[in-house]
Amino acid sequence: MRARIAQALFGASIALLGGIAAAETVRITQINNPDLVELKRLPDGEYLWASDLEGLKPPVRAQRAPRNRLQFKHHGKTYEVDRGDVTLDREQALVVDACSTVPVSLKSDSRQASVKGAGEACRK
Amino acid sequence: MPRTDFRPYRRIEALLQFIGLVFLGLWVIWADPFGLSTASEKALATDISRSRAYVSPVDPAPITVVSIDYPSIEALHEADAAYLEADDWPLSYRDHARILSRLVSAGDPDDAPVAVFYDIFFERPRAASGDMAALGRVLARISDPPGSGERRPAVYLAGGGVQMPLSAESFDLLGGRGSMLATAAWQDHGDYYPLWAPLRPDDDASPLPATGPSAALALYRHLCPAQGKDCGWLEDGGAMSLQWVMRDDPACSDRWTHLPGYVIKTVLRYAGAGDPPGAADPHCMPFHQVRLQDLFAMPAGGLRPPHLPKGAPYVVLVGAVMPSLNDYHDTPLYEKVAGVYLHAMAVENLNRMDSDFLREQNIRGVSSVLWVLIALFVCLRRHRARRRTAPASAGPAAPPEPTFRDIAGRRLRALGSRAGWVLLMIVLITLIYLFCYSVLDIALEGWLFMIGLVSLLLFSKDEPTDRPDP
Repeated sequence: MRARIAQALFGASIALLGGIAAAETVRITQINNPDLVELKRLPDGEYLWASDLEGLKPPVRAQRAPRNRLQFKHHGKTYEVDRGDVTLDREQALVVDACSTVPVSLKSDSRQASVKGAGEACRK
Repeated sequence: MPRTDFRPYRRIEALLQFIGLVFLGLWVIWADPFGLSTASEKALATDISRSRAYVSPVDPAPITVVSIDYPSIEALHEADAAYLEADDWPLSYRDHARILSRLVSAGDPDDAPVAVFYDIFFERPRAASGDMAALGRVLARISDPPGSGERRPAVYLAGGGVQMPLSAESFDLLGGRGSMLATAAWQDHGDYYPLWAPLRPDDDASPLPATGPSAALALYRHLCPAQGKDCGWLEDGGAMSLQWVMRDDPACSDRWTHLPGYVIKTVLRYAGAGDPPGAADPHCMPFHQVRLQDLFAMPAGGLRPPHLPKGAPYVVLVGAVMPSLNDYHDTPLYEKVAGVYLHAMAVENLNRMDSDFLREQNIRGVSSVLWVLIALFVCLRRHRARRRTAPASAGPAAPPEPTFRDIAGRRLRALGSRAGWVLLMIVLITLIYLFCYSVLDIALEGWLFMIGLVSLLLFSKDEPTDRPDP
């Protein structure tokens, strides 16, 4: 019996923590290129351009959603946006890797008989 | 005593020799046996192109190349802002849409490029990459921005080509606008870069346009008028022989340190010793080179090539630069370079030379006539030389038997003479090629009958000798 109670408590705490994580609140300080950022209106799933949403002016409070998306409310409706399309409050700046080099050229006598898997690369 | 030819069959012999030489030359020019003519032309063009790049470096071009490389994808995926959904290639369609949004949103309109070529081929919709229609909507929004008077760069996508056409599904999902496609694959042009090429096979019922401009032409059609140039010639078509050039920068093209070394190495290589000269550093290409991660880290307007004044037009090309994608092309100067740089160099050539770019021209007919004239000249000269020596053999008094020293001296002189002729012809051919390449803007094709010329010179003994032929 005790073991069952302990299990139930453990499960409940995990669910609670998960819920807290899922509902983590963040603050959107900027929508990058709002003319070209699509918002998904929930629950009907219609896509709208961020610039077309009247009165939308960051900062806006949002909650993290699955698949790296953010949900926020505006005029009583819920919208979803890609995390990569917005800037958050206290966001860490992008660290540019200055050490690695781009393989712009290869040796003339290099040969290759396979292409990286799955993709729209090319058929050669 | 009248000068008579005591061996009349020599005329027939000379005629047969002439016919034989003509056929030999025509065979080399037209049939390209064993690829000899093509291979020698290519080798010569490579060396001339390299030398020219070192001797005549160019100014930086109004071109920016954005490389989508694996470290950038990784960095952008792991960034706090999670700029990219994908952590490896291929990217999702939303990732592509985000990259395009960044490219065309420069903040100040004067900082925006006039056109963008996105060298990614969306051959057919791929479920694992998300919804292609989302990318299509962003492309349509870029093409037709809200509000009036706003100028956005024209965006072109890689439209494939006759051997790998874009699927009808992709075309439809990406907006169904044929004007957004640039040909990025072609055939039957050898090493040339066509300005126009088919986008699909003739018998394909796909909604794709039958032909499209190449990526370079598509971009230059925007860059040229923005620079205030006369651009009427742009619709003429043709194919370019790309000049691979390097930036005028002491670190790249200091002719007093690089050129002598290059020449010495080339001569040694032709003599059979030493390796080919090393390739030039790809950073010496006359473009502003940017990595994808820089695009997300830089302030608005950072795509503008640093040498360009504000407001001056420029174009942007974006392509995946990863060896595992197998999109690398042989060049005379930089060894194999990623495909997007091939298009960028074609834009550079158009921008620098305009209608004077090196054209593909088949002048085999002219070559054939020239060859016939050369063969005729040599055969006549040889025939006359024999006629001059003939009376000596018919005279009553036979010449004294030559000593070994005389024979050796004559042979050495003859050998030296022939070697000199061969060298002279090689130099002459190179100069003719260089003249056509540099002055007439013609990249010769089907012309290099050097093999035939050398054969002719070895075959012909036109220097007079003291002894009759046996």
